[in-house]
Amino acid sequence: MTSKRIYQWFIGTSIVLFFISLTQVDLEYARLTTGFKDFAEMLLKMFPPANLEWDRVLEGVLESWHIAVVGTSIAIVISLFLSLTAASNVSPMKGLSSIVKGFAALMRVIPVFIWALIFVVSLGMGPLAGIMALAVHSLGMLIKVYAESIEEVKPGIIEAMRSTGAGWWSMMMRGVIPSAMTSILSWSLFRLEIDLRYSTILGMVGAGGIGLIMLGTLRMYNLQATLSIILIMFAMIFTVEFIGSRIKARWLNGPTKRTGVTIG
Amino acid sequence: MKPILSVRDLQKVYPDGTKAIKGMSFDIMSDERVAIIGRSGAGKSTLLRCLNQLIPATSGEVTFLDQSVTRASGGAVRRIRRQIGIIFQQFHLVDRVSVIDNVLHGRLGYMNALQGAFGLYSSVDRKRAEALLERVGLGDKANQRADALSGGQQQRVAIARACMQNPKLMLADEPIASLDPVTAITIMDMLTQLTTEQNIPLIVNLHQVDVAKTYATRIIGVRAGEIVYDGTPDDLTEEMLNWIYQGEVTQLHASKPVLNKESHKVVLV
Repeated sequence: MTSKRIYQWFIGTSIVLFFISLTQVDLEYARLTTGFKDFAEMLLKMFPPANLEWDRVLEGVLESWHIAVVGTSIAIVISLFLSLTAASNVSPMKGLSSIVKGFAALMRVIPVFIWALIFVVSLGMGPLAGIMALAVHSLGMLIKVYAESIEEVKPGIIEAMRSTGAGWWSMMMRGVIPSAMTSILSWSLFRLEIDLRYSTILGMVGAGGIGLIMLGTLRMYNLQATLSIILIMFAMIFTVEFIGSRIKARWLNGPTKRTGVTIG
Repeated sequence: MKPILSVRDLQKVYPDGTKAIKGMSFDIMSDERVAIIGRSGAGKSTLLRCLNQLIPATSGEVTFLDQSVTRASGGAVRRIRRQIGIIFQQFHLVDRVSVIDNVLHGRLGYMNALQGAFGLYSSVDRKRAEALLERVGLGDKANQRADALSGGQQQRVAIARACMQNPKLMLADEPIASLDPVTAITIMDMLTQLTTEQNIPLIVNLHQVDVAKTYATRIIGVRAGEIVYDGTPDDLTEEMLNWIYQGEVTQLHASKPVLNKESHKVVLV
């Protein structure tokens, strides 16, 4: 089959699938018109954004960020240890590597909001549920990326340390982790950025922080206050992304750029 | 005199069926400097790694100071390894940590998990590491990152790390193959001097016949996993060399380096 023919097939199948799906979900088209009207009315009711109890809001903002920092930190510590058992080049036992990698995959594929719901149900509403949700979901990712960083450590370094008679812990802490440190650090920062963004909205399922405050205003139909909080969330996420990109530019490219300028 | 190391009918077959070592036997005495020569792929590297179980042997027996290396496991392997220093072609330092820390890694085999993991080296060890760095001429580089050093300097750090183990045997796998000829001579000098001072044997895999002849007291020629020559450098004939290398003899220099017996320095003639 020519590539043009594959292309035509692809488009054709997509269109057929779209219409099958559309008929199967059984939409009420009448609601589309009334719904648009309600939506526009609600948007109008949100303006102008209301003044808030600022000390409560500030508390919420800080709580969101604390949740992110604590959750990520817990994930970093646990992942650092578990990734050593997951990395196939240094794992102390045969078979352990795939077990830990499987566990990490399971933690990762369950979305963070599902984790938050699970912990809200089991631990109650509030920051603890948020911390646990972020920690568990993050370690799913961190174990994987840390293990990959460790697997990239030059085999010679490990061989040389083995040849000195060093034990497993000494080899890991003195040789393997320092060699993988740069990528471990940048992955951790990257994860912190993600968690700072998640923690802003995690409260909407009851897991603490600014999101929990928004949940309250929404329940009371205080739409003007809700808009204010949405704007604050936007500012929070924007700040995190802005600072994150600045740090990346400075840490990862900065030194080479600077020497380039002085030399050239 | 009892041999430090004794190898009996050593064989290594890799999982893919490659027969790297086909039954080698030899003894190493404490005052010997042995050069193992042969083409790439002849089994030199595998042989060296079987001596401290970095690669497990398939059959045969390696005995080091009356202990069996081939039958040792777990803690016993570690206790044997820490008494055998080994230098690699690519130095294999931990790039991102300081030079002095790399030297101190030589002590890890003597420390428990907690001390080792957190790098709690004794002050005696620290002094010794500094002295060894001084000895290999890198006293001023102690706090630099290892990857900031040149190849020759990194190899000197690796030598200091191996000496830090207080080894009873020194192995070197192509220690000069990645270095320029002048640096290569310094490294060979250093290895010779340090092992002679401590009265321990040196086994060195070499590509360059001229270097082997200059430094070694005994030469073992390896061809396709078998020992085809074991004797003094002087008895090594052109014919034998051609047999070992299958007609491709490698020389380090066009001119010939000669060891001055009194100063232990090598001069190019």
